[in-house]
Amino acid sequence: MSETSVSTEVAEAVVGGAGAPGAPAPRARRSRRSAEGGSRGGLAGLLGYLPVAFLLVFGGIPIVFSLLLMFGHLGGPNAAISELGQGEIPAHGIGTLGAITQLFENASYRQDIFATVMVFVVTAAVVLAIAALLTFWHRLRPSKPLAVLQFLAVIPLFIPVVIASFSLWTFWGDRGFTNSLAQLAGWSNGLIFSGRIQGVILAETWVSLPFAVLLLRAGVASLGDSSLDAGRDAGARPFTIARRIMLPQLRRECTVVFCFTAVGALGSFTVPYIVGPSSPVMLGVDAVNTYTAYNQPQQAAVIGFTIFVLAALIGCVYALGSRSRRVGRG
Amino acid sequence: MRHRRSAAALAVVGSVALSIGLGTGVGASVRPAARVHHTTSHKTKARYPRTLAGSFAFYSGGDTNVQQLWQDVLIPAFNRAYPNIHVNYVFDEHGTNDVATLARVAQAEKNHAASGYALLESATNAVELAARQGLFIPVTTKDIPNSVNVPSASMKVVNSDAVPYRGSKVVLAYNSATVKNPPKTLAQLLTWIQQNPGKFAYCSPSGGGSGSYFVQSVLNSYIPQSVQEQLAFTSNSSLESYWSKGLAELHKLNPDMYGGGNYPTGNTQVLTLLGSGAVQMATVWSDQGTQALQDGQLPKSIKLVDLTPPFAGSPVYLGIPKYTPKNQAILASAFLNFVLSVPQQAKVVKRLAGFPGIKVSVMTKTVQSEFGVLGDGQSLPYAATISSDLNRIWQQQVP
Amino acid sequence: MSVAASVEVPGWNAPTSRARSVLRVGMRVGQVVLFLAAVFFIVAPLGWLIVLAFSRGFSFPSLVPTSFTLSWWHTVLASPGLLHSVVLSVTIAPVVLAVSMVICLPAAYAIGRYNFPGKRFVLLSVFSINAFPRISLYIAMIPMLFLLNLMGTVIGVVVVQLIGTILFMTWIPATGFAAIPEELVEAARDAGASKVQVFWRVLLPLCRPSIAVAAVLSFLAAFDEAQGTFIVGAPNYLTMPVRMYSLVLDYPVQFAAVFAVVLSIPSVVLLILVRKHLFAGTSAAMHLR
Repeated sequence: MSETSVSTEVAEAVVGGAGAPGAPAPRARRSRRSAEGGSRGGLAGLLGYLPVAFLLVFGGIPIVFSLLLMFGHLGGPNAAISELGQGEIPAHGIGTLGAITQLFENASYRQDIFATVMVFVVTAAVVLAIAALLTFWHRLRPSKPLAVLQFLAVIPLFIPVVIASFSLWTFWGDRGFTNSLAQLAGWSNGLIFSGRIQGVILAETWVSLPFAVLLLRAGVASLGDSSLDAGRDAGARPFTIARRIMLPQLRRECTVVFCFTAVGALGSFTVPYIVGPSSPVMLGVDAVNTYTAYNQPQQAAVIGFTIFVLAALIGCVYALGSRSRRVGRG
Repeated sequence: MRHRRSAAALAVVGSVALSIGLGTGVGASVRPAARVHHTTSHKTKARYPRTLAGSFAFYSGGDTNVQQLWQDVLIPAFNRAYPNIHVNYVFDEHGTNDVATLARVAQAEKNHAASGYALLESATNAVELAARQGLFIPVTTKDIPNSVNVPSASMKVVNSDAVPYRGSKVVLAYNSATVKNPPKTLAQLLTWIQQNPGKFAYCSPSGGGSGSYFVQSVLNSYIPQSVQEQLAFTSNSSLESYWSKGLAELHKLNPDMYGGGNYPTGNTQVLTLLGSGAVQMATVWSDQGTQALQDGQLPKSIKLVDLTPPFAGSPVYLGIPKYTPKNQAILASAFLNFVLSVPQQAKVVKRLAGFPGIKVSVMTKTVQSEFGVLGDGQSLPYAATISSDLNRIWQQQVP
Repeated sequence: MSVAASVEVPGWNAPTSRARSVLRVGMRVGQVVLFLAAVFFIVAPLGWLIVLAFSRGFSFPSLVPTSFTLSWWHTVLASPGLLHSVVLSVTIAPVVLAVSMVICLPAAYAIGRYNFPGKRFVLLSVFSINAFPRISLYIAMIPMLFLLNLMGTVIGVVVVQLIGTILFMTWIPATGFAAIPEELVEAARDAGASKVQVFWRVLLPLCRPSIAVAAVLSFLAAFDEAQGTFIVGAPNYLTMPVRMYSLVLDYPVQFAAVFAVVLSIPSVVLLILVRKHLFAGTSAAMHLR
């Protein structure tokens, strides 16, 4: 339980009392509903806990096992894996921080964390920018090429990640299409992304774009014409309309896109493993390597929780991002 | 978020190396090969009647040449001998799921429950680790009569809880069209790498033995023989301090490696680089290299050679998990015994261009001479836990 | 974007007609270049993949294959157990999707429209658990799966695949439910609709696009899940991705290409099936214009 209550506390700290994540921001017009909301809170709560109950059993309990393992409790449910593993630091009493300090004292692990953060922040920003550009533009000035692009941008969703990574690796690789093209144009080894951290960002962007476009598209579709027309009538330029009218109304969608993309890149393994460099590696790759190649389940658990904490931080970004009040929609 | 391919190092302790090295001398065997063949096949029939029927699951983690060996050669042959036994062959590329499968088997053992698998093979050190934890039913000559031909040294490594059925070693592959004077020793190889930056590749030790054994050779060049042996047979991690010079050397080579220090993720990626001409030289598994040459995946200009001293090689083990239901364990034993018979071992040697699991001396003369193609010398690889540490330390210090 | 779109905005301070036409041509060119670059970025790797699936080989730096062949297709389609895996995959993934909807949609509704204690806890725990490395999660699940007798069973497979769908099925529809304007609900209530009617006739249809997005993502998450499925389902329940992932990286590039095309077929069928819902919002809005 402890790690989940940590995230609640973090959320409380960040969000304060106001605007719970995912909730519609308080609206004046909601008086009747919110009066009812009080009496219905119990049922709503029960419904809300359903997926959590499932996750607690099949996700939470294993995570608690991992937490125990991280602090050096090698017996009980962890007995089978820790007997097979090596390099364990057993707990004396409550637990040991040995495995944690061991990893964090390691310079290459700190570099891995830095690389991971950079990749997910840049990827999320780039994906959000591209998706917003495509969808907002098309909402303001619908055109055939934009419609085609929006459709194309969804296609990567249907390509399994392992195959997508593999194809991007060959495509952007030193024997791939782009480098062949560069070579023919007389630019020797000019376009190689595979095996570089930029390649990871490129591939993560490719993989994440469909979700972003789908969600923002649903978002802009729900915007009423009246508010946009009002902007136009007032003589506002499209950029201004996008920034001042669309963005505030779609802030929640944008936040979801940013956070989902970030958390997806944070936890990813296949893309960085296949496309990325040998060093630094992203934490997802680190976790798997530590488990399978280094045979150190305890240290793998530490990496798991590093990712977990970063994910909770991204969750807080969401909490902040969805605080804004919504302008009424026509 | 989805499937991960994480190959652990192929690093099974190989004392078969020793036994092969010592026992290969043709005619040195005590008994003539033909007679051994006769007796064992007779025993096979006596112990496991042809009428045996049922089905059992067999987990196999390795590279695809191993998958083809089972699916195209050994299992069909077994089904001709035992038409009523169905082998449910589960292949896991590169042993991606070895650790998870091992955890499943270990938990089953704790619960005194069936793991779902009646037989396990792993190209990583998973089966060796499992054997060391006592997760397997001990192999006896009563259950597996043909195991009598397995060199005792390679049984000792796994406390006789598993048997080796094949072995292979790492060799140097080079493009003879561009490299006229291939290196003969490790020192020459290292010089060549520095003189031809970007033209050599080895995979990261975590990704496959072909990289791991190159790294081990470099490290060993700074380590006294006695310590090398301890690294191969014990789990004494304090000896890892001997690695520092070798690791520094490898780190220094970083800019001269393919892509300025880009290490392919696995054995197969190395072959791809070699085949596409991206590199001129690389370390590869003898069996994979030979097969890639046969398939045409590697051009004919690629040659495979041993250095002096050669890179390491290692046996691959099979084991039957404890608490496997009795009827399935019998079927798996019958299969294991069949695979260890001389004719099947000859197929293994031919198909993989590798080493047999049983003593070379009991093989037929033709196989013995064919087997000599690549030379039979090997060095000893590090013990399982030591090589896991090497994977980690290499990742921290080299790239 | 601002420049491109501003041409016809009324009230914009227009320059002389000559400068304006030059600007317009420049913008057109810019748009075309941008369009082509985007198409290249998104589609070219896939086109390359499809060409690979039919090619015998490449010799660098040529852009066309040395010759074409169907042999990769033959090898892939002839691989043993493929049909069984296909049937398993297309059976299990829809079941997972249905279970996920039953569990998560009520939750999404509650999260989107009500305040209840621990809501933040719900959202953040769903979010963070999703990011926890799957290998650690699955391996730590093993003792429990043995305890519940789920190891090696179909139900076990459904359970592991379900984990990856919860985030999508909770968060995205919750956003959709939350975005529905209160006035619409109140209007329906004023017109005499019951709460159930409001849910079925007003809220659910309006939330359709986001539910569709969530359904597609969940289906694909379940359909593509290979690691947990292998750990739990093997040796008897090996879905298509499990079988194929175990081969992709060890065969020549062309194999991966064929697998990609084969694996994408069910997804594309799904895309066609849900296309109407996915793009419903957009087309409705377009219609209104």
